[in-house]
Amino acid sequence: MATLAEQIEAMRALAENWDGYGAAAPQAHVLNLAREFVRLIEAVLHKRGAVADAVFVSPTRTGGVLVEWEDSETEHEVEIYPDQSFSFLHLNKTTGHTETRKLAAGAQAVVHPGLLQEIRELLAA
Amino acid sequence: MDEISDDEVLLRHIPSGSLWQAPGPRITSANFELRHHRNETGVSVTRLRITTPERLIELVGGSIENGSRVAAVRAADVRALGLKVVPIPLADDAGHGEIQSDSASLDDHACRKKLAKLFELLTFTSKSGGDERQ
Repeated sequence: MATLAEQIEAMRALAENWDGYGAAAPQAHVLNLAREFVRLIEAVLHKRGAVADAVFVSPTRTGGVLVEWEDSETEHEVEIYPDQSFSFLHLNKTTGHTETRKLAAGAQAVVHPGLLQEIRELLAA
Repeated sequence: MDEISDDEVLLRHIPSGSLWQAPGPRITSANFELRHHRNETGVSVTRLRITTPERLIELVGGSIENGSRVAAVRAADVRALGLKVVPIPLADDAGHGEIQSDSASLDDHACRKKLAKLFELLTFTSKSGGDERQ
């Protein structure tokens, strides 16, 4: 099975309409950001002693990337949009309660891949 | 144009994702996102009563051999989320319809997550039918 980084790289080959319903091709800058974000999540899961192969990545219809993982209590989703904003969703598997929040993009990119890389290195230290 | 009854089954193509997903395609909230700048008004679906899963895959240019799948949901369950289900027949698909925002919004990540959880992948057991829920 391909690693998450390899799966994200494979998304660069997707063309417009990859889903048959007119989906946008994933954008390169979003894939770069997603790659760093996934590495960060893997580092966090590793630190917690959790299994990192339960992380899934998917292209979104708008040219972004969706990252999903879960732990014993919660399903997590983070969607990275083409404008580099993030949408977070946390679903409690017992109660069904869902929390969402969004980091909206301003004039500058909200999250730079370099920042995620730095956080990951701090976590791994 | 006849309305879509609550007990009707709606189909949606799930692209293979063979390059990035294993062991097979996942139904995610990302499958139900709208592209507003393309003036999309809803999520396309197909009525099982009118269009077969095989025909749907053909219509969207998918391939079962390459990992394309079809997911199914009951119209009543979609409506219970606060979404609309409306028929919008197309020239090449008389069974085409849309899931549209109503009291709930498809722009809401949580709504899309709930919608994704309602769909179930069909299992293609023979050349003639993808009529079994997985």
